[in-house]
Amino acid sequence: MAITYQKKVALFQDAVGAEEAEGLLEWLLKNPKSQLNFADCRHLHAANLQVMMAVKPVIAVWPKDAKLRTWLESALK
Amino acid sequence: MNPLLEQFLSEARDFLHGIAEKLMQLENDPGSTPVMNELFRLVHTLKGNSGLFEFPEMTRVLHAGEDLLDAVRDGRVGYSQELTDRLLDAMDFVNLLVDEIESNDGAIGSDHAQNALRLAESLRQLIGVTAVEVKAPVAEASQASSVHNMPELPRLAELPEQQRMALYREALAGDTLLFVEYTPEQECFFKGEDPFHQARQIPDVVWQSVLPREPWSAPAELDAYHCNLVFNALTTAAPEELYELFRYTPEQLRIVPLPPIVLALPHGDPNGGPVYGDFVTDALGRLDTGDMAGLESVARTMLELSSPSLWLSSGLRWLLLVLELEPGNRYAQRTLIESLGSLTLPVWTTPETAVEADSELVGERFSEADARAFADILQAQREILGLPDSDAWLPGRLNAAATALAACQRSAGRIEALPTLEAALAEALDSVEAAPLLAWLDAHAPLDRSATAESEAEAAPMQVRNALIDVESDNKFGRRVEDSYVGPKTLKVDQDKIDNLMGLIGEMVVAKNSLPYLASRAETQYGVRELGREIKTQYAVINRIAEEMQDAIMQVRMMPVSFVFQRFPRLVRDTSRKLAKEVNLILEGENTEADKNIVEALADPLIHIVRNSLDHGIETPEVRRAAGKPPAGRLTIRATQEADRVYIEISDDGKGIDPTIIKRKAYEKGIIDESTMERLSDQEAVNLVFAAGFSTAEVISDLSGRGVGMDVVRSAVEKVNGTVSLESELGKGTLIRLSLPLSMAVTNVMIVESDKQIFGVPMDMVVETVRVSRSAIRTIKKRQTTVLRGRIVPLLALNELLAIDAEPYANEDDELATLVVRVHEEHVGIVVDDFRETVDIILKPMAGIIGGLGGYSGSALLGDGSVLMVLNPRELV
Amino acid sequence: MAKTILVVDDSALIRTSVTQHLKNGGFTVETADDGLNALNMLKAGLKPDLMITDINMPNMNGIELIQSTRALPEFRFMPILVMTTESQQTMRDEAKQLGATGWVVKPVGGELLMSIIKKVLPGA
Repeated sequence: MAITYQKKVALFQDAVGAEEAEGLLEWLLKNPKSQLNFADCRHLHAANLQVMMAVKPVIAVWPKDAKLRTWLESALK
Repeated sequence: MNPLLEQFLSEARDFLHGIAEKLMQLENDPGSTPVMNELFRLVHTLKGNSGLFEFPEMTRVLHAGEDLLDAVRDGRVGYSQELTDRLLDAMDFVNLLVDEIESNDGAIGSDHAQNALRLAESLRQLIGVTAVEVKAPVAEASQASSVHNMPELPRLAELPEQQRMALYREALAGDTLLFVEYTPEQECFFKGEDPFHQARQIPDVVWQSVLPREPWSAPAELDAYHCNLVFNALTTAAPEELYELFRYTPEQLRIVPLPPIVLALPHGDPNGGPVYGDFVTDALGRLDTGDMAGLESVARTMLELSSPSLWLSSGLRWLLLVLELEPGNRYAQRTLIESLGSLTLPVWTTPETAVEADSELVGERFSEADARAFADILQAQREILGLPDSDAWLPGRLNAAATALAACQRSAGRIEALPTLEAALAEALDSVEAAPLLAWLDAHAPLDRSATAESEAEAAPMQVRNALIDVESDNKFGRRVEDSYVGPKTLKVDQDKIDNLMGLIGEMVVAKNSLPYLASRAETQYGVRELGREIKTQYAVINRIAEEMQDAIMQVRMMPVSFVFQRFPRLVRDTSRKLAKEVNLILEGENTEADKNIVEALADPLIHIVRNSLDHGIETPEVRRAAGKPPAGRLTIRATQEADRVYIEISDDGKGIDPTIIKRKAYEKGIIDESTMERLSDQEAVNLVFAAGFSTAEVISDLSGRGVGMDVVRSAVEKVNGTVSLESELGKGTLIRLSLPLSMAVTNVMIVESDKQIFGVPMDMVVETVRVSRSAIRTIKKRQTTVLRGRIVPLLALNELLAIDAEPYANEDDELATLVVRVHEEHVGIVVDDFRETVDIILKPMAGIIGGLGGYSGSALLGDGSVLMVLNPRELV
Repeated sequence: MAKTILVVDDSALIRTSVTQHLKNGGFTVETADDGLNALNMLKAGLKPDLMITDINMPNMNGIELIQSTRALPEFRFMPILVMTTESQQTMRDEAKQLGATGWVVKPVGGELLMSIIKKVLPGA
């Protein structure tokens, strides 16, 4: 699916595709104090992952999927 | 038969036609890349399709053909006539199988296996050794890449110590530890790859990290789609699983099997406390003397004295763990103690190579793919050698197999095996049996997993097939495929369905024809003129629609004559080669269309004419040269359409027909008498070749001289209301022209009346209708004739022809109604009582006893329900 | 939501067989009989999650289709699998080089096909 941008939070839903990466980067640059919510996220494309690794945003909610969470933590922490 | 199989068979025939056509084109233009590519595509697709069913014989041959074509396409194998010959043979075999599958309810007899093997072998011979030689550089390349695979130690220190220690225990307990480093290509996103998805699929991960490949650029300058990631993982998965997962991008994967000890990397604060130099000396001394208990004791004491966060403490913890779990590993223990003294990370040497697919068959320097290719080659040789020894060409086969095996050995760097191979070959040749070579093969390349792989591969199509059969039983899935955005442009429809449609429109035409009768009855019988007129108006509308419909159905039935033409390149090629003649075939107007029945009816006559032309018309190159002609003869087949007729002209620049010989032959065979022989013009003489029982071949060849002559051609053409004519000039060539109707389903006939009965005469035979005054009739040689437009026309009374005992009926002006028809290019007047209207009818051949009657071409139902007998003037006159 | 897969092959037989496997696997399937038709479908607004294409096809072959598809902005990242036979190693490499994500070796059974798709299609 996609990313829903709320005021200060970006909600990642289902599997987020590569198309979203550019928008995510833009949004993160515009909203430096924003947070990311992975509660409903099952997967995100590597392009999104590297955007987050480069920008280092705050993660508000980690994914429920334990394995995905471990991978994300190993990349972002 | 299962519908998928039916579809396969129908497609297979199309493919085979196409393949033959492309092979012919290739012969004329061996360098043509488009033709080559198309040819490859056809063979390739057909092979793929055959793989869906269980026809190993077919697949085997096609596979060999595909490989051969692939080699030709890559320039590995040169084009040759031999190649075309073998491929054509192979396709003939496939065609045979297709026929057999169709007639044998989906099965191929077991007796074809040997032929399949032989044909595949003959195709592969052309690639043969070359293929193996080409493999060699690949092997070198893979050797180079194994150098690249030399691992440098992964950044294991990043793994928390505790976790590393737990892993160390597990690894020693038996789980091989693999370090996986996955560096995706920078452009990989644009290949649809998602490296994160890929990394997440690595099984049994115990630790992972994602790192930037290069330091991150400033966020504002970041290119989100330029992959800058490296994924690391430690896993206890089997290497095969990983290779399978990364099969599309193996070069981006590095797998390093880790000896557990490499996890022993101290980390922490290096400057935190005192390092007692004598501790290291003491510890090493205890190690050397084997005082393990003492060593453990001093290490433990040292650890208690040091802050846990120190680098030193970490090293001591590892030392203690190694002492506990690998008490015999002195080397590891020493290295750890020494590193405590130098405060540098211990340098653990890792195994030389990354885990490679084992390939004991051909040595380590081959990649898995090479190994498989080799196994295939060896397996192929095994199969070839397994063929019966009784074949006359066994020595050739033995030599070929031995050459292939020798090439394999050379590529694998096993030169030492060559002398034994040569000995085995010599022995095999001496004893005229394959056994010694087979024995050699067994000794040097034992039957191994390549055989299992093959049986698996063979099992796979079975599964697919079973799955397909399930498909048919489940109709609800059938829809969506047809709902695709762009529907198929052509439909394949069973001919029966079209015939059914044709029959229906025929009945419609007949039913429609009853309306004028109804209209006139309304007027005359019931006296309602108004209604009669209205019926007539409606009739006009229905008539128009019916005609258009008929036209449309005709269009459906139309097919290009290329359907028949496409077999000629092959026929001409084969025949001319057999006769040692050179012939250039020129096909023109292949897109000209005619009714399917007509086009199909053309096939046999055309083949006969072409064979005749090759056999009797075109001379051998020597004769041609002597006659001042180019050595290669020219044979042209041209189709054109004019109005409602299709013309096919077959012309050659051969020796033509000698009218004198024809006359003599005809006389000798009793076809003409002496006076006729004197009287006949050259053109008339030439036309004698159409006379029944006439065959000019001096020597009966196995081509055209099978006791059938041009008379067979003529009757076949006439059966579909066509005509044939011939022109020939001695020494210059012959032209045969066929004229055929575009369609034969609906016949336009003129109704004539004689002795109060009506008959139909096909309009395409009618030249004109005239009323001939009795006074203009002359009797010449007991035959009644008259002169029409300067031409003597014999007159025949229909009553007489049909043995009706009645005189022709003349009108008030004493004129006789005469229908002038064209019969064998001659005009004949048929005297009837009166002419009626012309109607469209659907001609039905006569069945049963009356079917044997000459003079009638069939019957038809008229609008008023009466039956019309349609005459066949050709037989009648 | 069911993922959509576009299957491109000039052999009706292969199309039917692959389509059936995919449907059994819960995918929505669209088919095209050559590269040109497939490309037109993409241009007409079809947005598959994955494309599986044959290589040897009339009008536009699989390689050309991959190149043309990658040139369309909305399909830059779509996974594409090529269907090849065992012997077409060079073709596979070329296709991979030019933008294919991976390949399937024909003939392919349902289970294997599903596992291959799961590998390249996140969330499948």
